[in-house]
Amino acid sequence: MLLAMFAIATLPDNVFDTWDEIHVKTAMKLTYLRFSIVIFALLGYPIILFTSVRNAKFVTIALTAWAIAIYIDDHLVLYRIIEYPQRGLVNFIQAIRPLFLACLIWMSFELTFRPPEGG
Amino acid sequence: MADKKINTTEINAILEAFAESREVKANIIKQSKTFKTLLLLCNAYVVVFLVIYYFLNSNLLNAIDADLISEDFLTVFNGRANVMFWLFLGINMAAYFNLGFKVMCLIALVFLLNTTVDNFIIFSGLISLNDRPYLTTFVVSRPLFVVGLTWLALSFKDTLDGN
Repeated sequence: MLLAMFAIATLPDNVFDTWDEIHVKTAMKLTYLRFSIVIFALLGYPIILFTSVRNAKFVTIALTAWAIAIYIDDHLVLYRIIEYPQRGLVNFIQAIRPLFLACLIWMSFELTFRPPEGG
Repeated sequence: MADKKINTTEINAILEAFAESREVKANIIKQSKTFKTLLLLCNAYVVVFLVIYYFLNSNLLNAIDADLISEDFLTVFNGRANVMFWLFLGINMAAYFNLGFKVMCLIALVFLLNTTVDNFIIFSGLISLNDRPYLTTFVVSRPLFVVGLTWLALSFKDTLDGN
């Protein structure tokens, strides 16, 4: 996701195959917002994970829900409002997004259903 | 040598001992009046706005501003309405069967916060809320709904799960 954010945020002006400036601007604004949330999550998650597994479970579920929500938003809700650049790296990251979601879902199930070690 | 395998009668006895369904156990837990009221209000909120949206979408309600009924906005509202419908279906089922209710509320909260921020970013430069009463009511009441949903999750008693 960081790679995707970086790829989108550092694009030159002329790479968008765009016909609507508003769509591109909206995509950029959303990207910056999501970028900020991802940075906070990546910084805070290890701290939460090593201090409380119970809280880590809820944080993981919340992050998974958010990742799925933005995935659904991008593909089913906002596909007429935002436009992502047709660039190799962005396309690749978008393609492997379901894999990333599967990992998060797996982590959520693991933290929910696996009994704690030594318990 | 004695046959150590358990027979059908013994299997049935074991099954009968654990036969009390989750639903029956869930019904034993008495939820507070606050929880019931909040669940009712949240359901009413979702249903009212879904009905308003479908009426607007089907031209059964007079849209104050025709720009609101543009294809792009309707696509967004349609997606949000569908997701909200399925989320609330999940929340009600989770409450009925006492299974993963807090997790469902957490997912709904995250989705709500995400959509609120996204809507603000997407629509802030495109439309004004002054002349759109349905949208304004929806946007203004959204924080109340978020608070209600949080309260709903916190007031839920789930003694079976112990979460």
